[in-house]
Amino acid sequence: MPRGQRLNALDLIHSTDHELVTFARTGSDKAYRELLDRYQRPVFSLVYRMVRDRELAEDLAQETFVKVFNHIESYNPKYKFSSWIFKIASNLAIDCLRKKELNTVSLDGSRHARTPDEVESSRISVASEDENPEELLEAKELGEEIEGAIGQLRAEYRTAILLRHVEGRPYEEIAEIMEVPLGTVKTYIHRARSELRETLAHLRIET
Amino acid sequence: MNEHVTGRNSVPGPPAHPTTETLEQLAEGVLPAAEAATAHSHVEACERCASEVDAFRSLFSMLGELPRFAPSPVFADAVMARVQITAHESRALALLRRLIPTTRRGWAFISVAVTAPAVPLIALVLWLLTQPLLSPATVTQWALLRIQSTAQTGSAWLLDRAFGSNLFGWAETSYATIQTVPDSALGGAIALLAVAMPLSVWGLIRLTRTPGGNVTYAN
Repeated sequence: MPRGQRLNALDLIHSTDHELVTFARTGSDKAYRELLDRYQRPVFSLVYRMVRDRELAEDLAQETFVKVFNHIESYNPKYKFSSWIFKIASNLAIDCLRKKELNTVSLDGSRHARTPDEVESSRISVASEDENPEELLEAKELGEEIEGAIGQLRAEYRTAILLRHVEGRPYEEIAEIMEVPLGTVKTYIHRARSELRETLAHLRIET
Repeated sequence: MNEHVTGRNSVPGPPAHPTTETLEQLAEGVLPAAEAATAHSHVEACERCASEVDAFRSLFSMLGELPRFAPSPVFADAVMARVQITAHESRALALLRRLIPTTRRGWAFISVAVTAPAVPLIALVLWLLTQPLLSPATVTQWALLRIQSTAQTGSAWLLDRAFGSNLFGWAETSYATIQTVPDSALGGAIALLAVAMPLSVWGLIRLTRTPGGNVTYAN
C-alpha cells in the first residue's frame, strides 16, 4: 500500500499544495481528491467566465485537471501549484476561444448560441440563495451586468482581471500564469478596469 | 470620470493632481508607502480625485463580490476516472526496487550471487580459527597490523605525489619570491585583497539574485 494511502483526511486538509503533490506522487488517491477539492471551483469559474458555456467549461476544466494530474511528476516545486494549474486552464480556455472565435459575447449569452436553450446555458447567472426575491432579482441583474461587461473584454484582459479580482492573485503570479512580463500584466489590468468602468458607469451611483 | 488622462499626460486643473494610475494603485492599496502618503493627502483635499478613487474602489468591490461557480456534482469523479494514479518514486528508490527479484528464479539467482563469495570466505575464517597457533586475538592483531601498514603506505604515496607535483614546485617558487618583496608592498597587496574579496563576493551575490529574462519591473 502506498505511503499516501495511510494519510488521514485531517492531514490532507492541513497540507500545503506542495505536500499534496508529494503525496499524490506516491500514488495517494486522497491527495488527488484534496487538490481537486481545492481547485475545482477556482479553475471552473475562471474557465466558465472565459468561455461562457457551462458544458464547454466543464470539459476544459476537466481537461485541465487530467493534464495536471497525469503529469504530476513533471511539476516544478519552484513555482506555485496554483500558478501551474491556472496557467494550463487559461491556456486551454484561450486556445478554445481562438479556435471558436468566442472571445466576445453579448450580455445575453454566447453569440454562437442558436437555440433559446443554448442562449440560456451561455448566460452566466449570479445570484445568491439567501436573499429575498427583490434583492435576489437586483443582485442577479447587477451580477449579470458585471459578468456581461467582463465577457466583452479581450481574452487576455479577462484572464488578468479575473485572476486579480476574483482569485485575488498577486501581479507577479499572474505574470507567471500568463507567461508575460509584469509590466504587461499591469497594462492588461489597467485597460480592463478602464473598459469596465466605462461599461459599468451607470452602476456607480447605485453601488 | 475620464477627466484624468492616463499615462504621463497632464490632468486638466491643478498640476498637482496624481495620475489615474496613481489613484488606481492608491485605491488598490499597492502604491508604495511614500507615494501613498502624498496621494492620500491630495485626495483628502481634492473632491475630484476622491471621487476617482471611490469609483475604483466601487469597481474592485463589485468584482471582488463575484461568486465562484461550482462544476457539476459528477465533475470530480469524471476527472478521477481519467487519471492514471501511479506511484512516482525517487530514482534511487526505483533502482533499489528494480534490484529486488520478483520471480522464484530471480530469488534463486540473487541467493547464489550473495552466498557464492561468502561461503569460501566463511570456510577460510573457520579453518584459520581451528589452527592451533591461531586465536581470535592473534587474528585481530594481524588485521590491525595490516590496516596500519596500508595506511602508512598510502600516506607516504600521497606525500610523495604532492611534493613531486608542479603545484608544489610553483608554491615553493612563489614563497621564495614573496620573501624578496618589501614589507610595505606586501601589506598594500594584502589590504587591496581584503577590500577586493568582499566586493567580489557582494557582486556575485547581486548577480545571482538579479532576475534575468524579459521581466520588467515598471510600476
